[in-house]
Amino acid sequence: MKLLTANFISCAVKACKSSPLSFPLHFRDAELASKPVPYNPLLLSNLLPRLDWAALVTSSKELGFTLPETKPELPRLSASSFAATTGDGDMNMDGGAVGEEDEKTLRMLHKVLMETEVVEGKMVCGSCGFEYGIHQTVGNFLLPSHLV
Amino acid sequence: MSLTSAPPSDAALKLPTPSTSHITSQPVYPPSEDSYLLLDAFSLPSEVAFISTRLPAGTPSPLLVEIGTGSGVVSAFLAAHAGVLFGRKDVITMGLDVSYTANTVTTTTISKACSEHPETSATFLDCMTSDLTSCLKPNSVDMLVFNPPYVPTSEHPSLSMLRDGRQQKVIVNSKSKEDCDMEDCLFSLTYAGGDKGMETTDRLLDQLHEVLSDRGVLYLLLCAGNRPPEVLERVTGMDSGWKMERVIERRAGGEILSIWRIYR
Repeated sequence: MKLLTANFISCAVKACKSSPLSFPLHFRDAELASKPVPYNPLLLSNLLPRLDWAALVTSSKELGFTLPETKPELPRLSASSFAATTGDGDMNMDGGAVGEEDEKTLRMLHKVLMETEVVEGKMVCGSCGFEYGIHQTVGNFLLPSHLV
Repeated sequence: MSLTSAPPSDAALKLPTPSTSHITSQPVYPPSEDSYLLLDAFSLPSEVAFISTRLPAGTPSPLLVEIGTGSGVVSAFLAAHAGVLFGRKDVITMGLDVSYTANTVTTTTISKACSEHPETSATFLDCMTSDLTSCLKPNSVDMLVFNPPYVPTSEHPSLSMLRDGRQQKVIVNSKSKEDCDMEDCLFSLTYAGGDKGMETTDRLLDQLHEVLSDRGVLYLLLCAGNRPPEVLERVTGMDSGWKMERVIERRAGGEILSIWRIYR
């Protein structure tokens, strides 16, 4: 499971859905791997507005990464600026190049969110304490019958 | 009709079907008539136009989720050709299935298809073992695809074998009694829909308002036995003004299959 995925899942127990403690689920005993993913700055730029940053900071911390406490302010890239990208290098934005600092932030986010994968481990609900297993990168969110 | 006439401008796109040649004897639902009908629905220019109006480029990146991915052929098609089918490739995708074997197979199907079409492919995140969308954060999904177990059956299979047994493993060439029982269970879950073939679909429709985002749309496959007019009446009668429109219909073998889009 990719670190980014944790931003889209919460405890499967129905009664937990309304509890703020059920999101994000907390990683435990995680074995990590880094898996190369094509760098897509347009995706990162259009994904940022919809991410729960506080939850992302929490998930990252649990896996040993430190993200800035506040959501980075990145220029919104457009498809046309994306089309102007050469290889996976220089990116044009409103006619200008992405600043060195922004590029560094994008690369860092790419590495942490997209390329960090939990191969084995658990995710624990902060509300009910149920532990979901992750096995060979696949999270198991099927609850036992008595919890449905 | 003249053979030389130009194809109508609403001719369906011809995009390559993802390969599933890595599936040998794993018990997953193979690409079938219903899967291909979904691919054809998404290839209609009218559907491409609908999706790119619903989820226009420049808006926050859409999340695409398929429930019951089986072989993964539908998700792989949408993911590999996102640049064409969504008009944008900053799309993230996830697959959900009750079968761990299906999830491992689907991961391969999507990854392979995306790597063959780097210029148009979305970003695949994960496959997860889940009953419908129960593991998702509420109201996150922008496009949901469901080819449900739709065959009317006298009995509706239970998930208890999957829920209460040991951690599922990948099944290939079942030999032991345990594997064979599991395979039977997984097989029945791929098609058996219980009463009117609607028992699983009904559960999803009940939760739909908690699953889709405001701009979200569900693509749902129905067969004639599901009594689509009754489903239509039910969906359009739900709170908050749902619309349900038929995208495509086809006679396949003894069945009449149709794909519908449902949105607010």
